Amino acid sequence: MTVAAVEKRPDFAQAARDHLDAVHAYVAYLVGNRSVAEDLTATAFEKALRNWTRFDPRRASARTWLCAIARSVALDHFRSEDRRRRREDAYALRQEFEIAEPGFGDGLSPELESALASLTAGEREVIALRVLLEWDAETVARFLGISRSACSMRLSRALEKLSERVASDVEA
Amino acid sequence: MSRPENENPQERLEKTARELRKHRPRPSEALAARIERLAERRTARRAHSTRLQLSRRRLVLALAAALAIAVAGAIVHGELQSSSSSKPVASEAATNPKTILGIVTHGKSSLKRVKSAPSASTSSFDPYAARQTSSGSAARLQTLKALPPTAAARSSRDLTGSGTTSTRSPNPLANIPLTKRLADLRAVLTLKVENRARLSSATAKAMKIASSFGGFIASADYQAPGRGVASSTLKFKVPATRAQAALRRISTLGEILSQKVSLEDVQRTVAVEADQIKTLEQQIADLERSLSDSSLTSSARSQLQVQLANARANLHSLHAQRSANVRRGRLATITLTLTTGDLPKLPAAPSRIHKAIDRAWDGLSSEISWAAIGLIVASPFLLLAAVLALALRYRRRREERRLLEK
Repeated sequence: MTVAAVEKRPDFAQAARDHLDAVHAYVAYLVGNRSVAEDLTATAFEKALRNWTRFDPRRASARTWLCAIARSVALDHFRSEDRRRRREDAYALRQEFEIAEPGFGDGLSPELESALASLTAGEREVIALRVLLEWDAETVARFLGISRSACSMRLSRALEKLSERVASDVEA
Repeated sequence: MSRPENENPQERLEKTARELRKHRPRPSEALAARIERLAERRTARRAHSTRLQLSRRRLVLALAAALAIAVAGAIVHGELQSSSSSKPVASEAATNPKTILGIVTHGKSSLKRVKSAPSASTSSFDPYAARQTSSGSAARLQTLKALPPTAAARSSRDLTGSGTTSTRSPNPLANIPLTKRLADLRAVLTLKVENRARLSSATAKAMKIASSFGGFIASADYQAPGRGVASSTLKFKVPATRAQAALRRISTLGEILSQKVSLEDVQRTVAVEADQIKTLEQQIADLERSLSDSSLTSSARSQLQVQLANARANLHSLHAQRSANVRRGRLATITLTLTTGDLPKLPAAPSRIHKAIDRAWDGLSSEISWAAIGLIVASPFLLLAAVLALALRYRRRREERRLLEK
């Protein structure tokens, strides 16, 4: 990394303050559990702090970089949860902890909350990035490692599904 | 959350998005405080990370410096090699008793003298080395230095005597120092003739000249393809005493493109062989005398008989060798090439700097070739590693997809 790039790199404290909300919201949507999201967000920032010298502002914005770290942390969490589930399935001890404290935001209607919970993590992820964080399609596609059209399709399907679930909940 | 029946799906989606944005999850105060503490920790560690950055920069600089040193080293190495390889040939000749006189000219105006080992073939001739030995007025043969010990010394003295007179001669063929000593004279001559008709007549004339000097044709090769350069190559054997005159006559058949004359004294060799023959004959006589003694035991007799057989065999081979050497010394070999084309031009002798650059480049090229060999050897493993990395990446992506679809 060049000296100019190092000089252009923002201060970690400032970046953390600026992007905590976004990263937390993203993680919360991804894992669908607020307490887990808090832990994972903290873990993600700790990891980011450890690797802050590797951050190159020319390659991505601080927010994208922090979200990428948060994503990797969340995926690790999913993996460990997956392993735990399989282990517990093997011994028939499985307990449902995940949706004990669902939370996608204070003040969300119960229908929307439950509709969001019924979506897959991948669908919630694309909603979080495109709707909550208001990233453009290009950035999201690059971030997720998919094509732009695939990204748009994933978003429209997720929103459609969300809408349908909300509508069916309302009707019910 | 209530939804009107006639709501447009697009509006409905936008409304949902607005609601999601409005009620976006906020981090708790505990999390914010935790991150704040992290940020403070970072500020405290900043000085250390700056040092780390600087050391990385130094590492890059060190790598660049190492590369520059490697290139400079290659250049210096090349320079040293070029200076060591440009030692005067004369001094080398002085330390090499086998060195015999050789005269080489290339083109009409440049006459060069180079050392040539008796066994060296003409193909090993280095034109650069030849040029280095020549002085500014390259067209003249320089004073021959006496070569060290024994016969070589005597031979070179003889040659020098003849050579000094020949330095004034414009025709290098006049420089061939001939004496009554046995010497293996070899001349290679390339002449240019105007056209194919002249080539044919010149070839015939050359054959006549050879026979007129009491020589004979050892081999002949005439090549006149439909297009391009035609040439004929003749190999004569002429009596050594008349070789100079024969060469003079032959050289008038065309324009001299190149010529090389080498002379190796074989008188000493023949003399040594004569001594050995005498000794062997004496031995054989002694052995025969011993065998005529009737008091010899059978085992002693058989031993002596074996010795006698060996001595006779040695004598026979020495006679053959001596005869060959005498023939070699009495008959000069002239190889004449008549051609309708020109010799390829010799490249200009490179300067010291050019040679150093060339050698440095050679060094770098060999490094590159070694690297390429290494790459070729490692390529299957690299390919395997790349395939493995791709497979792992694909597997990770698939797993991520699976995890996110839950």
